[in-house]
This record gives sequence, structure tokens and C-alpha cells, in this order.
Amino acid sequence: MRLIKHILLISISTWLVFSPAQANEKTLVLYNWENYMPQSIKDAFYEETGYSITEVYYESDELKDELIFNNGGAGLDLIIGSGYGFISYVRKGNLLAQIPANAIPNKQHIGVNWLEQSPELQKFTTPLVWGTVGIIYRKDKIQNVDSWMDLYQPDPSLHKKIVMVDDIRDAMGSALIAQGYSFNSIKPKEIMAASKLLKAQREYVYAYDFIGTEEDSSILTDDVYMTLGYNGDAMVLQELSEDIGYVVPKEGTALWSDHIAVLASSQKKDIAFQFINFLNDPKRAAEFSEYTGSASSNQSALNFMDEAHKNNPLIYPPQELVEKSEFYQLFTPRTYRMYNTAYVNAKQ
Amino acid sequence: MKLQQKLFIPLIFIVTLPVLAIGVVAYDYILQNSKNVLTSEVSSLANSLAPSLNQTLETTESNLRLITNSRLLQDYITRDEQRYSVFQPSLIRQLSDYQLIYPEYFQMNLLLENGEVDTSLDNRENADFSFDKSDWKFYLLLQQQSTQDIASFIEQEPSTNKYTISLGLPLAFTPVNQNNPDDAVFQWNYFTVTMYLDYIDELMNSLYVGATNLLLVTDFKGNIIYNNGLYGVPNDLAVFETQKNVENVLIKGVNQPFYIHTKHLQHGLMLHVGIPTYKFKEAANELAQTAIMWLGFITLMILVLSLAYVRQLLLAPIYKIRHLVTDIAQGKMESGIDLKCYNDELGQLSHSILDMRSEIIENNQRIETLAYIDELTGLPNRLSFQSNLDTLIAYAKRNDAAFSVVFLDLDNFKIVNDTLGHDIGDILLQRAAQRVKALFNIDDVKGRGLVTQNSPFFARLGGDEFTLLLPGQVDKEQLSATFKQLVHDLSQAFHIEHNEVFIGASIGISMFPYDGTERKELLKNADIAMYESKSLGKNKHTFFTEGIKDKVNEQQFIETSMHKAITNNEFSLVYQPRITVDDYGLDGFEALLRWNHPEKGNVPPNMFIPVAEKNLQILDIGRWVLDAACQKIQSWVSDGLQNFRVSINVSTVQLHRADLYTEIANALSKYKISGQYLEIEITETAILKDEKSAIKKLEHIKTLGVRISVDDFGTGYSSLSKLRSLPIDVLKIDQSFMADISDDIQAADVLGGIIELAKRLGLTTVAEGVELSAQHDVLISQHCDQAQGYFYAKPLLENVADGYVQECIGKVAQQHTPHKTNEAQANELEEHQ
Repeated sequence: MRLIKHILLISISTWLVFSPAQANEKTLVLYNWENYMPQSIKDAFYEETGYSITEVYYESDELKDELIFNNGGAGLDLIIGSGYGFISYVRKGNLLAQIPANAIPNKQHIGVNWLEQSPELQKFTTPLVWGTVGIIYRKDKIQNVDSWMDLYQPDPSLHKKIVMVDDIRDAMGSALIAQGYSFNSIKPKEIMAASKLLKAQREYVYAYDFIGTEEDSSILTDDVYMTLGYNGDAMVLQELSEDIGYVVPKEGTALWSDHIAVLASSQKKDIAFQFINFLNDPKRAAEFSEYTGSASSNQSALNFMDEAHKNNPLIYPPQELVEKSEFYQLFTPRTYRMYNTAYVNAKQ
Repeated sequence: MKLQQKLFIPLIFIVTLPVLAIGVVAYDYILQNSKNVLTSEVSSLANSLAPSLNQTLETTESNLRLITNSRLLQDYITRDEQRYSVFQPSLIRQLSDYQLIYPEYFQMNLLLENGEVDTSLDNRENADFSFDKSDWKFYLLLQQQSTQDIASFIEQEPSTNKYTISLGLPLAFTPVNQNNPDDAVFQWNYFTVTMYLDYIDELMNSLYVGATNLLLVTDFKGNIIYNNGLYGVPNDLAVFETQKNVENVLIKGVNQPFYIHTKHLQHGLMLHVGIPTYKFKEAANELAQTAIMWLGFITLMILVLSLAYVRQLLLAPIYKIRHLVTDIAQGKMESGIDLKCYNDELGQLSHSILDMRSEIIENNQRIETLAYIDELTGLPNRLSFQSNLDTLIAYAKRNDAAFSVVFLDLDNFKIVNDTLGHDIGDILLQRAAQRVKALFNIDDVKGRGLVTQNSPFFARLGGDEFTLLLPGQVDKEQLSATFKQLVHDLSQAFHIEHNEVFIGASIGISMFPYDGTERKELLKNADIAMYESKSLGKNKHTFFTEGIKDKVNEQQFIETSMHKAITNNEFSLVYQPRITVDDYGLDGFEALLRWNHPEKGNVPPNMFIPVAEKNLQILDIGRWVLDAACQKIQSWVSDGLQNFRVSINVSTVQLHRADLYTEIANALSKYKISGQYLEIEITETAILKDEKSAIKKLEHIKTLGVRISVDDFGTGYSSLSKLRSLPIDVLKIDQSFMADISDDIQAADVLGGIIELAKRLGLTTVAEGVELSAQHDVLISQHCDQAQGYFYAKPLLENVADGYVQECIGKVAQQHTPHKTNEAQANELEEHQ
């Protein structure tokens, strides 16, 4: 599977290189997750400016990073991705375009804590939505799920019924929190302890993969009862089945936040920033938040949101849990190597 | 039977006495030689075991090259920034995939120049997590090496005392952020793979189950890695060390003297094969017993011989009669028959057959006359035309005469046929023929309708094609006027059953001797001229010139004639044998399409397949190929051929446009054959064109039992790992790989890597385009399953392939005869003849 994804990655970059005609048309190319931008916003922007938005999709953060680091994202104008990932883009330099003064007036609507989440990002990216990492499970098959240990030292009935997300930071980080350590721990002892916990969990694991969110998802077909997942995915799955539950474990969790930025290589930076401003209009921010099933970083958007969306604890979790949780932090290369080694040996 | 007994008794004395004498002398000789035989057996056993023992390590070397040459790893080692945060997860995943396929590589390491561990995968329960291997002896060994050669190291795992072997090589690279190329500094990384040596136990147990020989594998220090345990543990290991450069020596083992052969394996391993000396006498006695059995066997053969002689007396005349009948069947009517006795029943039978032969000769002449007339129009037909043309050419050559060959094709005839029906079409052909005959004053012909040297000859070639032979000196102006009249006559309305029908005529003329002096040439040129008329808008005549010939568009010609190719039976299949590499056995055939065009001869597939794919004729052609191949399979199965398959090529268009599943299912049930005999070959690009639907279709087809192979693998874009998701059984490695391997060791390694990985995925490998025995040798050493190419056999015509199949069935039958040596069989055959 992984190798095939590499081939996909190569074919995407080939597509980008071989479509120079795109640059001359009135088109902005957005690098994004699939189903992560409502058609209505794209249509409205086209009506207002005459520029259409074309999307290129990526399947995982790692594939996205590889493409950007390999060719700087030539052919792309805009990118939506995790704020944590963008820190490394900023440090590398020359990948993201700096936001000109007053280019995004709608920034005033965005919550200060989200804007100041990372001083490095502030000049380059604009926060859009945020969410939590937690446990997605089948309410009809397993009850009383409230701790990370319910995932790592599960009930015997969950033998071969768990999907572990194939992401090193999320898998290792939640195993760290489960044992009372920081999600961003850099202590070798703690990292090894997390690796051991993952290794002991292996016999319960059905697959190391991302859970599907379509009707044939393994958690809907009874092949899988529990998975580590994101609240956005849980929302989509709940629409397909009433039996899907989601919990942010009592030990706390990691907060992810997705940002949007303009590529330094873009030929249409002005219109790209105009799109970011357009997207942060409170009404549209609310629309985007509802479409993606995540909490908006835009404070004013709350005024335009559906009551059900605003009051959904799955989207806006209790404040005390948010306060217990951490943002993703960037490591030194040696720590990354330690995480990689610990993770691969846990999976072996 | 009396005669047989009389012959039998003296014969048995004449033959058995000398054989008995030879047996006595031979026993003594055997005794002397058994020692030599057994010691050379020990040597040959050592020589035959050595390659198998080497193979696992050779495979590992190939894999090391495959991994270290991969773009991902080559890229990775040059990275500095984001090395661990971005690129390492991908590298780990790829190595992890490798470890899934090769779980025996329990540890894979990428070491930095200072011995620090960059990346390490370890699938043991007690995995080694250390980040520093600078004191590992193998690292120190690799560090001293200055070339990128593969080195190896044997050591004992401390926790289990199991022996392990590590293979590895240094990787040189220039770091990416080295801005000034003049300052370029080479850095070194090291890649290693470690595995247990206990695979040798399994290998030896499966390869050799001998009850007599001592088998040992040691490293060059004398540490015993494998011992088959028949003679305990040798008490003097120092002996083995002194044998580093000795092949055969007598040594003291545990209890008795041994004869030992030592063989040096790769990477410091040594194989020792031995036999205790007392076995020599045992073997001699065994051989003597065999000699006595021979004596009995030869006596038996004499019995068989004499029986055969008596039977010969009766069988000989019957064979002669059979030959006579066969000759008649083949049309040889002149052969005679010579029987010793004409008065018995056999003699009478032969007379009756001779009478029947006279009848047949008479009938044949009658049929022949009919065979030269076209039934519909009463005109001479194609056959008659050809023989007349030959006669005319011969006459013209003798007398320096000239004549014209005229091709006449009715335009729009097909439309008439399709819209008004065949009955009207047939009447139209008759009327059109009458108009031509009227213009040229041609009388009705009877019989073979021989041409006369000065009157025109008119024939129907078939369909709406007619031809004229116009003898006499050529006057183009005069002829032009005649043809204008002809075109005019034919374009007048025909009144047939209340229908007013309009057609036209396209005419082409070639002239003897100016446009050719041979039949083929004249016909071809007239045809070209006619097509020129057609392409100029029909209702015209054209004289052939060299200019036209060049102008004729090859593709258009192919396109037009392809429409008739299937109905005219112009397609045929040839069969290229696919061979099992290690024993030259027949695995099956690849059916290849040949188009034998009546005028152009053999049209190569690369000229017409692209055209056929464009106008979708390929769908009809593909159906024809499938049907013909299945028919052939049925005939071979009923001949008794087993375990074979015929593969046919399926084009992209067929896969995506046709309902291939239903077509194959229908063909299989039409000929009542099982799907296991059929294989379809598809190129990588055909699958990639619309991958999802292609996989779905192929999976559906596989439910019929039909095997699926990827053709020309290696020329397209897809990689080996891609194959894991495709529903295929066979990998046909493109012939471009063959060109390289005979003189390039690294290319052979990469081929070996492909083959090994394909095997892990459960795919059969077939090498294409094998032409040299050196290439065959590489395929053997790399364990390729099957191969095809001129080295083994060219594509065979259908009847030649039939003969080939008969030969194979014969071979299989021979192998099934129990307990006979080849020599005994040969004797038996000779005596029967």
C-alpha cells in the first residue's frame, strides 16, 4: 500500500510539472485533503473574482511534506495543512509566502490564542479550524470508553478489532499521554515506554492504517470496533451510523489545528491572499467549519453557526479537557530519529 | 509357434554363454573401480551441493544491490535537513516492506560514517535497539574497505549461540548542501543485512537425504555450522583447517578412516563431504548383483526378438498394402505394389484397391473441370485465371509478345447487396459480367477455358472482383478508349426485379513486359492501379506506373484488405514454445498472429495491429485469435498433451472495449475445454490505462481458471511493488533485459532480484527473447522458471507445432515406463525395428 502511495505521489508531481497552461488561466491551485473545501465557497469566489479554484489532493501529511520539500510545490498556489507541519516549512525558508501587511483584514475575527499559537507561523499562515485526537469506537460493541488505556490495554473482546492510525506522532504521542507523560516528550526512557506499550498492543491490531470514512469503512462493516482517530472523521462516520461513539480520553490529548498558506513559488500571490481573506469572512468561516465538522478558529463565525454544530461536544469539547491538552511541538532531528526507530520496532 | 521354439533354444545358448563370461571378468574390474567411482561420487556431490548452498547468499547480494540502488535510499543518504522528520518514515516503510517479504533478514542497518545507527529494523523478539555500533566488528571491517564491494561477516549471537551472517557494503555519496563542487567531499554510509545461518540446516535436509555420506559445513576457522550427525562430531577439527587448499584427502574420523572432499563456498563458508572407506567393498558387491540382473534381462530380450521375427512374416505384406492406400490418399496414383504371394486374401485385397484407384483417377478429372468455373456467372474462376495467366506469360516470353492484365472492381456493390439482398446482388453480378463480355466479344467458356494467344480472357476472382487478360501489343490510347466505354457501360442503370440499380467500376491495368514479367508482380501492380482508381474517386481506369506504386499509401491498403482478412482465412497462428528453464521441458506456447495476405504475403503485426486498434477491427481479430487458440488447445488435449497452456495476446482496446469475460467463457464452452489451458497476456500499459476497471475485469476472467500474465514487463512505468495489487499469475520479463545480462554482472543481479521478488509474490517468471546459451546459463543461475526465444525454438507453424507436441507426448510416455534404464530402452527399440 505504502509503495503504491509513493507512485501516486510521483504521478501528482508529474501532473503539476506538466500542466504549465494552468499558470496562465484564471485559476488558483489548492493543495488540500479530499472533501475539505465546500463547492459553494469555490463557486462564490469565482462569481466575485472570476478566479476558479482547482484542487489537488494529498493522502497523508508525510506525502504532502515529501512533495513540497522535493520541488517546493511548483505549480501550486495555496496549501491547507496542519499548523505543526507548516513550522518546518517556515524553518526551511523560501517555501511559504510572507503575509503582506493588511492583506487579510478578516484576521481580526480570529481568536488570539490561535493566532499566537506559534510566533514562527504568525507571519506566514492563517489558522482555519482545530480539533482533537481521540478514540472512535462502536457504542454497541464496547462500553465505558474514557481512557487511552482502553485503546492500549483493551478488553479481550477487541482481539484483532482495533485499527491504529499509521502516523508516528499521533500513535506515539497518545501512548505517551496514556502513561502520564507529555504528548511531546523528548525523554528516551518515556519514548521507549511508549514503544513497549504499542508493541504489547499489536495482537489486538487489525491494521496500521487510516480509518475509512466511506460506507465501506471497516468500522461500519464490523471488522473493527475501535480506532485512534480525529473528531472530524468521527463526525462523518456518525452521519453513516448511530453506533459510532467518540471520546477525548480523560488524560487529555493533542490539539491539531489546520492552517492555510500561500506558496512562495505562486505567480498569483495577491489573488491567493484575497482568497484567504474571503475564506475568513465570518459567514464563510462558519460554512467551512460546518462542512469540515471541526471547530473554527474564527471567533465571529460562532454567530453564524447552526446551534447543533456549535453545541456538539464532539466539535467543541469541554473547556477543562482543552486546557489539559497540548499543541504539537517540533523536535530536533535526533528526537525524530528516536521516535521513528521506536515506532518501527513497535510495529515489527 | 513351432518355428519360434526351434529358433529360441539355440539362440539362448549362443547369447548367454559369452554374456556369462563377460560378467565374471567384469566383477573383478568393478571391484577395482568401485573405489574410484565412490570417491568421484563424493566429489560430484560436493560440487552439486555447493551451488545450492551459495544461492541464498547470492540472492541476498542481489537484494542488497536492489535496495542500495533504489532511488529512495540513494536520495535519503544525501539528505541533511528534514532527514529524520520527513524522509526517514518513507525509508523505514520501504525497508519494512522488504523485511515483510524477506523475514529472514532479521536485522537491516544503515550506519553513519562514525558507526552511529541511522536506521535499524530488527524483527527479533529481543530486538537490538542500540544507537551506536562503532564497536561492531563488521562495521570496522567495512570501514577498512575502500571499494563498494559486498563484504560478509560470520559471528555467533551471544544470547542463543546461533551463527549469523551479515552482508553489507559501503555507500559513497556527496552531501546535498555541498555548495561548491570543487570542495566535494565523499562521505560513507554502510548498509548491512543480517540473517541466521540455520537456513543451511533446512537446505541440506531438503537437498540430500543420503544415508552414507558425512556432511559438514564450517566457517574457515573450523567452527561447525552444520553436521548431518551420521558419524558423530569429528575429533580433529584442525584437520579441516589444514584442508583449506586440499580437495581430497584420507583422514581419521571418529571411528574409522574417511575420504573427505572439501569445497570452498562463498563468504568464508566451507563444505566437507566424506565417506568411510569400508563402503568401497559394499558398493562392488552391489554392482555385481546388477550385472547378474543384466544377464537375465538380455535373455528376456532374445525371447522378445524371436517373437518379433515371426510376427514380421505376417505383418510385412499388410504394411505394404497400407502404404499403397496411404499413397492413394495423398494423391500419388502411380505407385505399384510387390507382394510375394498374390493368391491369398491379402493379394485379392490389393487387387481391389488398385481397381478403386482407377475409379478415383477418373472422378478427379471430372471434378477438376468443375473447379475452374465460377458457378454464379459461368465465367472462369480465380484458379482458371491464374493458370491461364501463367500460360500467357510463358507464351509471351517465348514470342516477345505483350499483353495487359486488367483488374475490375464494382463500386458500391456491397451497398446493393446490403440494401436489396443477396439475390439481387447475384443477378447484378451476372448482368455486369454480360456487359463486359458483350463489349469484348467474349463467348461463353466450357471447362478450363484456356486462353488463346490473341483473344481476350475474362474471369471472376470472387465477390465483386473481375479480371481481364488482353493479349496483343499495347496501345494505351486505344485501350483507354475501350476502358472509358467499359466504365460508361457499367455505370448505366441495371433493371432488376423492378429495381433500378446503379453501380460503377474501378479499373487498374498492368502490362507485360513493361510493368512486370512475373504473375505476382503483374497482379500486384494491376491491383495497385485499381486502388489508385478508387482513391481518385472511382468510375475510372488507371494504367500502372512506378509513380503510383510509390504513392499508394501502405496503411490505406492494409486497412482495406483487413476487412476481408478473417473471412478469407488469411490469418493464422504460429506457436512459440515456452520452455521450463531447468529441464528444457515444454510448458506451453505463445500463440502469435500472422497475416498472410494473398498479394502482399506476410504482413508484420506492427504494421496492421495499430490500424486494427484504431478502427476497432481488433475486436473481431481478437475473437478470431481466441477461437483459433481454443480450437488448437482442444485438439492437443485430445492428442493426450497434459499440463500445458496456450497464451494469447490481448490488446488495450480489447480489454477496455470488449466483453472479454463472456467471449472467453463462450470459447471455452464451445470447445469444451478447461480455462487452465488458456493464458492471456496483457501489457502493463493496458492495465494502467484504467486500472480500477482493468483489475475488476481481470479478476472476473480469473474465475474461469484462465491465467493472466503481464507481457513485456520492465518497459512500462510500473514497479515490482505495484504487482502486489494486480490479479496476475505470470510475469514475462521483457527481452531488453536479456540483451544486457550476458556481459553485465550487475544487470544479471537486477534480473535476479526481479525474479526472486516475483517468486515471493507467487508469480511465475518467464524470460523473453533468449537467443544465446550464455543467457540461458544466467537464467538457470538466477532460477528463472520459464523462457522462450530463438535459443529454444522459433515460432512454429501450426503443423510443425503439432509435430512438436507429438514428440513431447512421446517423451512423457517414455519417462513413465518403470524400472528401465535408458540403455535398456534403446536396445528394445532397436530390436523392434
